[in-house]
Amino acid sequence: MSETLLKVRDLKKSYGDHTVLKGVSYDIEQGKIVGLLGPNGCGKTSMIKSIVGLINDYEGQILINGKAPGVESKKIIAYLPEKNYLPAWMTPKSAIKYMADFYENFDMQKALDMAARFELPMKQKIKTMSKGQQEKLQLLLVMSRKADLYILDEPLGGVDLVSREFILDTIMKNHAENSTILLSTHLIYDIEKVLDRVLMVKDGKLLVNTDVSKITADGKTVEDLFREVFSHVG
Amino acid sequence: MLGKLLKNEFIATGRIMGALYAVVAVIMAYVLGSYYITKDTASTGQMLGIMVLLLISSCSFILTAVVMIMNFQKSLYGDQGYLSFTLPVKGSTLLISKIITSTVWFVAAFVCLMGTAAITFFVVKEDVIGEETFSTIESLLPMFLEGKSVSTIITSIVISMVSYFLRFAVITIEMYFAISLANTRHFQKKYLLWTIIFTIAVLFIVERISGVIADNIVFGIATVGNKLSIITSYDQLASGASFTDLVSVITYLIFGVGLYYATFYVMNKKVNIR
Repeated sequence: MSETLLKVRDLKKSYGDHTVLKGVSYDIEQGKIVGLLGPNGCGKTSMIKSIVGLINDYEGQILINGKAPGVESKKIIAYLPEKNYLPAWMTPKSAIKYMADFYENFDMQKALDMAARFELPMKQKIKTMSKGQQEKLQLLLVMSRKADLYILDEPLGGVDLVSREFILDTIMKNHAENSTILLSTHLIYDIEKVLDRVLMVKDGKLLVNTDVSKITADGKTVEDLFREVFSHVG
Repeated sequence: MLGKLLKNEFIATGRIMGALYAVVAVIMAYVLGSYYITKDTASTGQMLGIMVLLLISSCSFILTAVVMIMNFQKSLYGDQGYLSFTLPVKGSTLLISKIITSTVWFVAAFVCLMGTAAITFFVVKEDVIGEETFSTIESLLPMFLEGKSVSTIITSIVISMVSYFLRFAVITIEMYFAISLANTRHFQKKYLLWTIIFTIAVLFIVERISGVIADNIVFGIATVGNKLSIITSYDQLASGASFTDLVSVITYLIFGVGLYYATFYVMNKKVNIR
């Protein structure tokens, strides 16, 4: 059995009176590709932000490689947020240098190769690049790291089918060997073929935590189960 | 990691601040250069240059404060916070890098102001040419230095400089504390308004308390001739001695440390990146 890379126990998070995570617990093993599935506003992003260290005032326990979120966990997590987080004045070239400066596991050559393949204008300021180019840049910055855990928050949201295929293909071809991927999305169909395990979250509670092989053994697809859980079947 | 953070902080803020001081340096070089070439002062070009220098110098502190506030807000509590807070660096290192960067730019504003004052004095002093300005300074200098050793003078200058730099650092921390507080849940929706309110409030409170302490406690260095001595009462101050106040230095140091920890706590425990 693989080692546990991410351990979450009784995770709770509230914004004032509004509770977004209501005691979530799960383990994620090394080398697995895990889908964090649920509709918008179910608590996926709050869960991810707690793991990567953007939210600190949660209750419960999060352990990454046996350690609480901090400097050591940030070294091994490559995180792709939903937002465009790069300063507008940066260029792809300076963004790549920036990441290489801070992350020992950042492969600059790989980043430059990917940038060339993506046809990114290396000296153009990010603010003048198209949304698609900005997303490609952020994706290559994450996938150029030899991380233990890739956390990708809605990488397929808001893009067309061809782009979704391109993004998924980039992720699958470039993640480090034996690394773990936690991929949050509400677009099940596109990713179900690559997943090893699924976590389904609704209203801050973890409703499903199972291997995809168990779902398919019952003659279902992940999408079928998703529809059942979220009562989307007409 | 602090070095890498500083490098990137200066790159990020230097686009505006660096450009500003490059303009200042060019104008200063022009004003002084034109004097050395033409031996002429108060020419139209020089006066125009000095007017621009005065304008930049008088705005430089406010501009520095605005740029530092915007940079802190954007890079930590805006979308760029997703980048900053996921870097493998300690929160304290992140905060210190921003304090150092801001302090350096405030010191640059101070140097700019001093340089502008010196050049203005040099060029426009009652239409007197540069050499006479130097001779005036030369005649005034012995009065200031009279009976004092080089080490005494250096000590006084160092304490004054440390006091100024410390004040700039504390102003920076005051601003960063105010921004951090304005980004907590209760104030986050109107963070800009609250940043202004908290900045003014913190500046006022720190100044007020420092003033009260300075009025009631005497502690500093008295300089008589080559002798430096610590005094705790004005009665101990000999006639003709100069006095360097240490109370405000210590007060600002305490405020700086206290506000640093308060900012660090709010930043790490109370602010959720949107």
